[in-house]
Amino acid sequence: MTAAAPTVPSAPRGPSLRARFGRAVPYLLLAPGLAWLFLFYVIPAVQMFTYSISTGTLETGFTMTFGAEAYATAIDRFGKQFLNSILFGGAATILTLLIGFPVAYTIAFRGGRYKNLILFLVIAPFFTSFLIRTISWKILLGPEGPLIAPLKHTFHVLPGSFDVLSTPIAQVAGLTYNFLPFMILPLYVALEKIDIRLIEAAEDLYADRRAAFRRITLPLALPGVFAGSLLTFIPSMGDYINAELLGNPGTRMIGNVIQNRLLIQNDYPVGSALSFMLMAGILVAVAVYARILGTEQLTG
Amino acid sequence: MADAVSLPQAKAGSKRTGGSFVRRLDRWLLPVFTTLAIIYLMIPIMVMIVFSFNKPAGKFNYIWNTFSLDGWLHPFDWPGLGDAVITSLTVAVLSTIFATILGTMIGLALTRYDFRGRGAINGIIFLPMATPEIVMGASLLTLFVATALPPLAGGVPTLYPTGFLTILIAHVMFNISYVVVTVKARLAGFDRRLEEAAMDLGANELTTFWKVTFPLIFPGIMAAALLAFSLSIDDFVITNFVSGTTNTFPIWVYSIQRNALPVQINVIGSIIFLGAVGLVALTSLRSGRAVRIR
Amino acid sequence: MAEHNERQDAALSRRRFLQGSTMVGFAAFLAACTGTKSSAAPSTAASTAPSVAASVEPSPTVAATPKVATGPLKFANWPAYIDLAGAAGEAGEYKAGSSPTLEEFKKKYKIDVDYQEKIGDNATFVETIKPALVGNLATGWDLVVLTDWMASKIIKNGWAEKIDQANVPNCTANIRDALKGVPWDATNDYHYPWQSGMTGVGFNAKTLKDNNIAEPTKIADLWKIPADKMTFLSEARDTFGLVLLKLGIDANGDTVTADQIQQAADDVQPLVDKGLRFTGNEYLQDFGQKKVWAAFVWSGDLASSGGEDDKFIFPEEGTLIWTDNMLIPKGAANKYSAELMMDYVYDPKVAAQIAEYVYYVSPVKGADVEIKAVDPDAATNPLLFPTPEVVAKQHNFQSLSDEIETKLNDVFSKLSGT
Repeated sequence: MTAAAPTVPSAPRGPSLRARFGRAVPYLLLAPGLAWLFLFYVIPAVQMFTYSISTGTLETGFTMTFGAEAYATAIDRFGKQFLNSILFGGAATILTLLIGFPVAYTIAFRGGRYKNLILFLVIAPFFTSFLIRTISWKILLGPEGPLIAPLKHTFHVLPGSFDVLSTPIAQVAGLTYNFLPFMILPLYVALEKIDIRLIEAAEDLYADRRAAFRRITLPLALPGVFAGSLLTFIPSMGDYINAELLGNPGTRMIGNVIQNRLLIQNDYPVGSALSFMLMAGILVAVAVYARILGTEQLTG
Repeated sequence: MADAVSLPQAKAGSKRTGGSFVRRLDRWLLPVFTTLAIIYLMIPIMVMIVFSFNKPAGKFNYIWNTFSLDGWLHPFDWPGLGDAVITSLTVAVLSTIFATILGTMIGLALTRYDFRGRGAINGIIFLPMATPEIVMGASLLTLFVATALPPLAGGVPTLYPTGFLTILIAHVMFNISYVVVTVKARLAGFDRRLEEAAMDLGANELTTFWKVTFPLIFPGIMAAALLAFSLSIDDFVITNFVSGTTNTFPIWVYSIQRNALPVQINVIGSIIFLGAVGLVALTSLRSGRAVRIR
Repeated sequence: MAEHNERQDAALSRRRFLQGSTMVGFAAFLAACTGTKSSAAPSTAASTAPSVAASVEPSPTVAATPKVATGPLKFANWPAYIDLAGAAGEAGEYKAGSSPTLEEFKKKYKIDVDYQEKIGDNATFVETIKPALVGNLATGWDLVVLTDWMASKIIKNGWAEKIDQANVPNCTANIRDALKGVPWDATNDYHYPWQSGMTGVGFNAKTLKDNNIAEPTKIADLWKIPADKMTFLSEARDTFGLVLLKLGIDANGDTVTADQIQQAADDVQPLVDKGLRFTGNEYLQDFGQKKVWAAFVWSGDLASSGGEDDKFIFPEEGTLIWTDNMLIPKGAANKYSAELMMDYVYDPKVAAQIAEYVYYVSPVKGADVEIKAVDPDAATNPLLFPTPEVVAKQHNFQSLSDEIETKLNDVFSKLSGT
């Protein structure tokens, strides 16, 4: 018996799954999730949209007028709150990016064996109630609290009337803090994927650290930056609770207005109109942002 | 005779020469920054844990009074609180699992396949994040109630009265978007040739997925799952609308403020936090030389 | 080689994790399905009852309810609003975390009580049951507790079950006279009060003294305090009620006019411009941190939980009183049991037990007598049992006409920045 030559495993028998279902695979993958979203998001959202072109209340019923009065009122009366949302949401997104990028970078490249643990430490504080986190911050940053009081009375660095709570600064700080993991985690997953040998190769080719970062690391990290910004900016625009607990009547965001419209005023038409303007604005902003970053091709 | 091409000297400060002050500086700059950032993230948790050992002078745990173990000895000292906590944890775990699976599938489809309607689908993914929670909650409730009223009653499975199932449905719904966005950050630029190589070597689609694709995208899936869990376990507004007569821990926490702020909130928050961290620390220590997910 | 094993280990642990979680998920899903099925039963029973048009006139006669206590009684209430078996207290007799009142009720009537502390805010809670009420479905609750203004709306819309007075003899006999005859349900056909609270003025005596400001005795005195060191209440009715009193206007929902509301708003606007905020009882934390020197406050919290120098006063112009009321939502499956509960908590002994713990004003006559046995100080505490002088100057600014309510909500939303 001659020694059997090492055989290459034969190709799988029959037409492969890919050939058979090839065209259908993307749709099969999409179907369950999209069906869920369609049933439990799109349909309710369409109903809310119809409220925005109707008049009436939940008790008395709605009659569709197809008029845009609700939208006119929304723009007319609540321009300031829209602006607040954009400003505060934008500021929080930028701050989380500035703080989060180095953190994600360090965990990805220097984390070693404890990567997962450190990453978990980043998100674990957010398993607890938002209310308790905010109350805890207020305890620390109170005008006579353990942090500010010494600065006021012992070191005389701050005036006696200084109070950081109930200011826009506190509100942005709250937003930044609460959305930080939403920036760090996507940044981490994008950075962690980068093959360090690419950076080493760049340096071998006489790129200094900054150039290597700018031309290798950053472009490869862009999908993470994109994702993180989305996960921070979009929800923070609709946020209401940071403004409620940490702000003052001048810093209210559009989320507070919608809350008030729906719950107190029972004004579903204007509340829905505000929501849909917010959603439309965000979609446009996201499309522009994707175009700028050039990640559309990469991330679909 | 051509001169041998002379190699430029290695730049001072590059890896080759090593050991400059700047290099040493930013060797520890990043870790220090990260440590400070992690401490920053932990600060309110520390305060929360400290105040869980407080015995407030009145009904509100805002100011330090005296040390006491009362809260820890009786963490579920309110009617229905234990059930609420269990409901929250169960919903969080289940919705994380379902949302992660559904969201990852969508993420895979969006980044790897070319098909019509991608733009619209991306839009549908982003919209739930953009919608204020109160709008989602109120409209979902209206939908659930409508399944028990004509014309839908009898024709579709009724989702009214609301309760555990509707909470779960809502949580999966809003989590899917976050999962998709996070997983896509990982899938971007995924090298399909790795999969092609595996299939050239005889693996079928499924084996390729499990042995090649899945391990590589696993950090993205894990991160997405963590985000989804944290969103679910503290969701108040939407859950409030669709929970019916079921109570959850966040609803209890946000509702209690008018009359009291008991130590139990801190205690249960600490238990959840320390429990989660302990669990992860244990599993990562137990696998000895930590399995690098790479 | 080592890599191969590593990958295998990873694959194995992944597989095990997925297997385990799938089993957990499936088991929980089954549990969830069976859970919701059993709770679906009462609602189908209720909705097959002859459905009446949504806007319903209260039926002239009460449908005879069978005198069988069914359960579990689904009781929604505000948190920290019922007595609790505390840690050190009733050692051994009650499980820690249970309510003696509920436990005794369960023993007496042999039905289970599903007590959920789910109401944090009137508007939010009602918004969650409104679609069901509008669609004539059972809400799932048998007994809910809502503040006056919301209770009156529920009753006006025909969303409350009429109480069979024969089942609540304690209530009819023991309800305090001051709480009888409310305009929106004068004969207590639909509601009985649970607890009352008062809105007044609170301040920190030490901080005011340190800043050479006299202690306020009138609402008007607050206008002398720096606005950014004050908070008013985010409940529009409470804030505006007090401001109206300050302006010398009777805070009475029936007589107030839209112009007077506007007048009150104009009076508060300058304060808002200088930094006044509107809070719920976050003001307690603000008081503790010396961030707030004086505020509109509710009687139940500052008095029981404020710091040493925090004082609550009944202003000279008067105080506001509001009441949280028990109602039976339409379509309740266990209406008789709900009536039994209403009746039970109007027993003066039980009422004293609750009042002593909750620190609000009990609606039950005779509770002040019974409470002496439990806590002698409480009997003379003006916050629990207000003196006749205070009662004389109490105003109820809860139930407003639609027009006034719209005006109030409108000006208040502008003041608070929404």
